[in-house]
Amino acid sequence: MRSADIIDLLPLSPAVFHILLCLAEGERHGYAIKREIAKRTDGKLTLGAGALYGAISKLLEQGLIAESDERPDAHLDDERRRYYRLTPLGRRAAQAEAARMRDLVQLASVNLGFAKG
Amino acid sequence: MLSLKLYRFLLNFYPATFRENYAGPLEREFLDEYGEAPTRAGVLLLWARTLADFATSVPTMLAREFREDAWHAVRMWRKRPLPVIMAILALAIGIGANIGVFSVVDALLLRSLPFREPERLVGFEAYFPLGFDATPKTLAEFRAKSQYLEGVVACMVSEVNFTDSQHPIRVKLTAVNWEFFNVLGTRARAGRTFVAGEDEKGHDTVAVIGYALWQQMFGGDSRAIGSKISINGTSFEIIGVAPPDFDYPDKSQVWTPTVFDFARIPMNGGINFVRDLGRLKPGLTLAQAQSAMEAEAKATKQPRIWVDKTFHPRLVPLRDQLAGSLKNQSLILLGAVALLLLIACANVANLLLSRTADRRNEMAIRGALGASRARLIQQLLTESVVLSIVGAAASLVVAHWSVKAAGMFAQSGVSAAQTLTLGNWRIFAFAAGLALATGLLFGAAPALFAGSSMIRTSSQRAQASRLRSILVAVQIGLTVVLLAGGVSLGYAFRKLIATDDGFETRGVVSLRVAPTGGRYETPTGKAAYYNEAARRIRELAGVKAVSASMFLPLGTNSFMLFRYKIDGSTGDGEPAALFPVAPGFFSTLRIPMLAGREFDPADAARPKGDKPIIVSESYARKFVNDPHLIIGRRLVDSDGPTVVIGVVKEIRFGGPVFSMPEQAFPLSTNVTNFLIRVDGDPHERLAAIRQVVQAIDPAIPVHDAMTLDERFADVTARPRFYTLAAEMFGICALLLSIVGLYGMISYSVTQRTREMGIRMALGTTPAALRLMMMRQGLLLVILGAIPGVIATLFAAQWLEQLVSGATALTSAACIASLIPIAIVAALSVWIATNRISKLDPAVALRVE
Repeated sequence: MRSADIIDLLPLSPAVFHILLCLAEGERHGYAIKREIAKRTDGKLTLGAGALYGAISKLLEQGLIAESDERPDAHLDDERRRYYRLTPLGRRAAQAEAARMRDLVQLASVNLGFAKG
Repeated sequence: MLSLKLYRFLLNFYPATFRENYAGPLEREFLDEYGEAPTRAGVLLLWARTLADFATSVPTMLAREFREDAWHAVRMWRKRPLPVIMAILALAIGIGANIGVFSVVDALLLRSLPFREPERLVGFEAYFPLGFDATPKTLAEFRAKSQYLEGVVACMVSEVNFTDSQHPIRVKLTAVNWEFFNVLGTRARAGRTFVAGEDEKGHDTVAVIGYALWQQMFGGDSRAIGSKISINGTSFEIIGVAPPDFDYPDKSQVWTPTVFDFARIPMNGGINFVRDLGRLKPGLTLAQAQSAMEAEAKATKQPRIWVDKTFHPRLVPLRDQLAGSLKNQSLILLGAVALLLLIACANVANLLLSRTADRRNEMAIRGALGASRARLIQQLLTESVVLSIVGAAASLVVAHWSVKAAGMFAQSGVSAAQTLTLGNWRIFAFAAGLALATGLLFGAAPALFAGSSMIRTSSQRAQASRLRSILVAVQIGLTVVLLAGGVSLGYAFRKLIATDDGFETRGVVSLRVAPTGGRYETPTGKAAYYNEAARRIRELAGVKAVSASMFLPLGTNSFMLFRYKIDGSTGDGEPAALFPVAPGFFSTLRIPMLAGREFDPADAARPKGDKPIIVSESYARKFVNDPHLIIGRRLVDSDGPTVVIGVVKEIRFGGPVFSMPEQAFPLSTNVTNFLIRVDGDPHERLAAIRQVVQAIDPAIPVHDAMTLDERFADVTARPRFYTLAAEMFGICALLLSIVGLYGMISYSVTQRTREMGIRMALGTTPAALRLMMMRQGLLLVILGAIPGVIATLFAAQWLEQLVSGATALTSAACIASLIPIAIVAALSVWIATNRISKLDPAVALRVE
């Protein structure tokens, strides 16, 4: 996908951005993603299972993430779990979103300044 | 574990693809969270979150998959657009026609009436509970002792000349008892309605006017209340305005509170016919009230002039009385359009079914790639729902026209509250429901076979082709019903309008005036008006003959019944329909005299006791064997004797539909419904005539100016509409089912190419193969036609209600409709099998 196409995907929804950020640290299964996001946002963003897998199915279709073939040891595994990893395209999309946010923050700091606190 | 079971059940609400891919992980995750929930409260919290999650994510997922499936369908359609366009057209016609007829049913039978609890209001049929010489006192007595009515309304409709100050118009006035508005439960829009005592002399010069009249004459000004108006020369004060949709009965525009005082408003010799209406006592059913009324009718033993076995004293709900014959007629039409829609559905199902089979490879590949049967069914149902939504949208165009067409036959005669519209929620719900139901109906057949197309066993293929054959046979059967219906109505209608009415309408124009009040209230005053008008009309260019009558031919179906005795005979005498006419009536309408002569102007001067009368042949035969023998005899009624001077063939006064053949025509010069024979353009002549008549007295409105040909078109408008509609339905049905048959045969030729190849290799000629296909196709037609004919013969009784005389023709019509069906079917099979003749056995054998 060309970078112009990546721009079409932006802005990413907070949930999607968090999923990509989370998978940037390594492969994870759905439940782990959900818990990680809840932890990072102090429980402000808790995804329901339906919303999570809805987002995941869309990300898979767009090719931003992929299902991982590597699985943990059998005694730790449940075959119903699915593990996901970030694709190079997904990484670039997350970077583009981060850059977009950075530009936005810079613009805001020039025009408004930051509130104290 | 109960929670897991419940969770698994809820997963079913997700669309197929999503469910297949993520049911496992979702379940695992639910178990993880469940395991982590520390307490019972924690579990409850988990469920609350889970349900909220379902509520938001299920619709999102469904919309996403629907969008994908719909786009997929549209992409597939673009590859082969013709069958889809045909399907959409079929649906548009089917659904559109249904909406049109439903709008009539809705207006007549479903919409609320401008009365309080209208279902408790009843009218009477073949029974006059107040008798013929009622007074306010007898009405009060009747109500007091009635076992079944809590309120009684008596009303009498007549046409009057209405003037505010300078504009004379002709309006319908209803004289009512003072409780009229209270019993109906209708409040005045402005001012008030009648109160007790206003039906008494000295208090009764008050009137309530209709909303439309208020707008037209006073521009909706509230100062109209209290102002004076003149009705047939008598002065009244307006006390109130009726609500906008209220025009009961018979599109009335003015109501006055004295119903039994016939002499109060001069009516120019019009007929006084009091109609009764009642409100059922609370808690009483219609059946209970009916039996109470029957007992009452038996006890009172009313005298009846005309006894007909089909007329029994009966209570009729007001809504049915208002709808009249339109009620059954519109329901019959609704049945017919429902059949048409079924044919369209079968057609679309058939098209989709063969397309499904054509797309076996696509389905098989998708199946191999992991799409489940549920997924494929979802795809097909989505496709058919999208198809029916597009079809329904297209049907709105058809509906726009069909509602207009329906308005042409259903509008005249119904009250303002029953005006047809396309925009109300019931019609919208009906259309939406119809679209969805048809979508599921014809989507179901292909969807059922989606799975079987993956597993290509021969038995399942045979099953699918049998289903297609059944659909085609059903279509043919329904087509026979609709086509035979159309043919019988067509025959009956043509016979009806070809009926000799006994007079010549071409070149005759008519208009009505009703000089009332003041100098017109004496017979000589009216006769003077008639003579003056006739003289002025006669002087106009192009006028060949002038006459007048009390009832205009083709103007009304009502007449007076009188009994005459001949010479000195005893007994009750013989009933005849009475039509008072002016001199020249018969020659103006070119009605030939069978014996004797027509009235001439000198006859008007003959003294009482020697007044001339002309009778119809049928009536003459009630007294004598040879019509010539009645000339010079005396016919005696309560007014004294008249002398028969002529005999004519009976005429169909009300048009072709119904007439009483026993007719008597007394001479009258008090009649002012003019009939004028002209040459040249009748409309131009009519305009000139209208002008000179209006000039005689500007205060007397000239109205209802029409040619007799126009009146004939009006009288036959309804049967004409039904016939046209039925013929249209029949033709549409034929087209749709032939498209179905053609599609099925040509598809089956493609399917059996290999088999054909083998047969040809074994020596069968292409022509023989085509004949074989033809036999199979025609067998289907016959199999469908048999139940179709039986159904038609059962349905025949309903046709009679649309156009009289239709039932008698049904068996002939069945045969007449089978012929075109068979010919068109054979033709379509022959064309569909054209490919066989070009078939090369060597190629055919290699076809997979």
